[in-house]
Amino acid sequence: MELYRPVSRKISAYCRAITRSSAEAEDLLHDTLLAAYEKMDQLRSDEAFPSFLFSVAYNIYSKQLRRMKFRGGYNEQAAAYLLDKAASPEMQADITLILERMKQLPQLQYEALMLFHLSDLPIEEIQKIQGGSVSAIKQRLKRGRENLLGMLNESQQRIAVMLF
Amino acid sequence: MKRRISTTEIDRFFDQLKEQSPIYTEEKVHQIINSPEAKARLTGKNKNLLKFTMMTTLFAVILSAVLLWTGHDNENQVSSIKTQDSGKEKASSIKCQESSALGNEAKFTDSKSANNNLDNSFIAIDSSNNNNSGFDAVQQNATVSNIQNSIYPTQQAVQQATGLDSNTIKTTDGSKFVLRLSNDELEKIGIRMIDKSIVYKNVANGYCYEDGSRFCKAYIQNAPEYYSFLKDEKGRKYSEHYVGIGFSRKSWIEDKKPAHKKKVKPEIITGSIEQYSYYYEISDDTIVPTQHNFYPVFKSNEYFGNILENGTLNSSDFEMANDTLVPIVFPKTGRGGDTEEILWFVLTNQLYEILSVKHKPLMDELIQYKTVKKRFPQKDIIEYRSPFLIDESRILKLSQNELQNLGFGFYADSMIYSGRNSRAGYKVMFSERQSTTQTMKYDYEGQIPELVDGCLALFVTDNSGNPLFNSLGLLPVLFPNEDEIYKQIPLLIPVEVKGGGFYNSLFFWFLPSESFFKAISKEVSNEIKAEYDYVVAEDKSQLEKPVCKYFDECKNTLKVSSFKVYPNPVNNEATVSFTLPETIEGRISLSDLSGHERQLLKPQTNYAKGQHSINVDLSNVPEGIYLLTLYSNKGVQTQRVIVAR
Repeated sequence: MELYRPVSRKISAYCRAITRSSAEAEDLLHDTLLAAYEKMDQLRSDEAFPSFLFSVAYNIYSKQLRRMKFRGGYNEQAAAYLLDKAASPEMQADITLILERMKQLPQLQYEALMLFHLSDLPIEEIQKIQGGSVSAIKQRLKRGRENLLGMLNESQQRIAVMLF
Repeated sequence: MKRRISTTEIDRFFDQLKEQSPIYTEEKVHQIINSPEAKARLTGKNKNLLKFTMMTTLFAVILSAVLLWTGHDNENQVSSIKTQDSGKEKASSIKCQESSALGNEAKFTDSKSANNNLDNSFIAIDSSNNNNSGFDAVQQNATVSNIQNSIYPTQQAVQQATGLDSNTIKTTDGSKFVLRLSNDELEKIGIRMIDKSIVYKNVANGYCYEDGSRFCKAYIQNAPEYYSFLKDEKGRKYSEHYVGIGFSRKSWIEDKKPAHKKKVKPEIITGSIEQYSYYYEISDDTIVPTQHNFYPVFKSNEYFGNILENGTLNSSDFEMANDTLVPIVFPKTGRGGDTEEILWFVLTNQLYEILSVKHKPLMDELIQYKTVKKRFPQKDIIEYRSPFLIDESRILKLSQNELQNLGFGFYADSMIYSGRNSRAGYKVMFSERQSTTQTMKYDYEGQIPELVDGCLALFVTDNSGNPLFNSLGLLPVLFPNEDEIYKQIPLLIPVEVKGGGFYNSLFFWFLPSESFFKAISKEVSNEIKAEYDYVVAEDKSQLEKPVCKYFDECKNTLKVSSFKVYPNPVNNEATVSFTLPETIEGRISLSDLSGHERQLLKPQTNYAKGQHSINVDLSNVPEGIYLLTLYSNKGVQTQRVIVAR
């Protein structure tokens, strides 16, 4: 657990962000843990563990994405085993809204943003996970952020009701 | 006012994501990597290692024997190749909140020793992985399909008389599935009224699900004399309050110690209103949770909006999930002006058994839909739609003059509506703000439009179909029978209002009363009147169907002449006769006055143009008043029927 503990929140955040629902997030993390445990002998060093774990999660999810035509976000009972989230309801609402906007981004931009911001891995490590060149990863991140900002900056109007 | 979001906020958003609790505790990670599934994965890898280890051991034993026989000291060599014992697994009780160390730890440790540890734990481990105790429902390493199978209702109830075919099933209106239960039924599902409080507390699958509110006293300090409060036996001033328990799912710890009453410190919450302060004293929580295997996943308002999740699924899953959940109206807390809320329960065998006593047709239909959903998870089978979400064509857009006649006043940055009828009235002001609600007093003498007697908007909604405020407590005054409120909604006229300093339209829903018709132009009021009279007429067979523009019920009314049910009142058998101007596909069913389908009388059939006489059997129907309805692809036609014996 010494290797896993420092990265547990980040990998959880990544699984939640990249999947369509909390049920899928749990499934993905479960599969990632088993696969990583199985392949521990492939780990080069302790320092490489975060990159190794994210790489396993990324590959598993990419395979799932290729296999499924469309999988609804609904899975009835699986989330009974999820923990309560620490965030307040208001924050949860914001996070959900922003995640929904992000899922409208092109897939590679979305994945790059998630990997970069949630795993804290350097761009060179992300390039090894996603493939392509370092400059391509940088472009994806730049465009992803620009597109996301554009989507999020909608005018917000509130109506307050004042009662006599 | 526009608010630009910056890259700093994006970074902060990601930081917030990372701060969320991990999906699994360390204990759960232990369970996963020690699970049979994990071992099975390693078995393939470790088979060769095991063989090697066994061969090595055997060789060591033979070598020892040889060396002993030859008299050489080989203790060190033998001991150096003895397998290590990593220790037995300890059984531990489940403590869902704290993570207690398990006896056998397969570790995510440094990579060099990982394989050695795996070998040792593989050899030394007990075959019974006995760290699961307490709740049977908590399954170690449960997969999604296991969970579904363990609580998925059996298929025996799938036999359903509505003639639904899972391949051709269409999206159905979900409002009929919203259940208002009797006090008996509420108690059976775990909702309790205790000391004026309404509490739901249930333990399922290792979690405790709670909702409701607790009645308590709020003691007041330094209150001005002119405020009136009650006084207790010690002379302390107090008022009565309800403190929300909230809608939550918490970890549940099974206390294995002998039960004795725990002394819990009273909860004290302080607050202040103006100059005085108050605090609540909430007594010990002695409410023992029920032990049902069903639990609420979502909570919504009565119009299927404002979705709250319970930490089980995301609120964004609601649309897809609600097809297989049972919506049950949660009783009000007793505070005036509260809207009702709906708890959305997982449909298990246990819940099916409880609700089938009085709601069998509905439960059977839900189970059939659930079966379909299992096969077609993407299919939206049941639609729960706010009755306030309507076609644009139904909305009345009036002139400024007509709006003023109805009670609207428009100012630079605000709009005031005031309305009243013979039983109730209110005044409300709208403006664009980014702050929360405030109560304000203005001196509007001479500026407030005169109250229009008899003309009152019952609801105010936004363009998402959500009522904006809780009707100011008026609805219980106007409609003592709650069912009446929902029946009125299809007959209300939505008037769109813009301006007054805010950008989004608001919709005010008026009863089409005489005063309302007087306030608007004659041409429009005549149109609405004609349509309204047709819709509310019990016997439409002699009326000519008008152009339907304002009422869905008018549009949905099947054009049919001489629709009759006789004899009426009916004893056991009746005849339904009607004449069709064109071919239709239809079915005939009987429902109670609140719209719950009771019995299918004739399944889906083609009816040719012309005259039809159909015999229906009502011998299984108890005495009472019902609605006999012909549902078709071209509309519906309904006749009230009395069963009397």
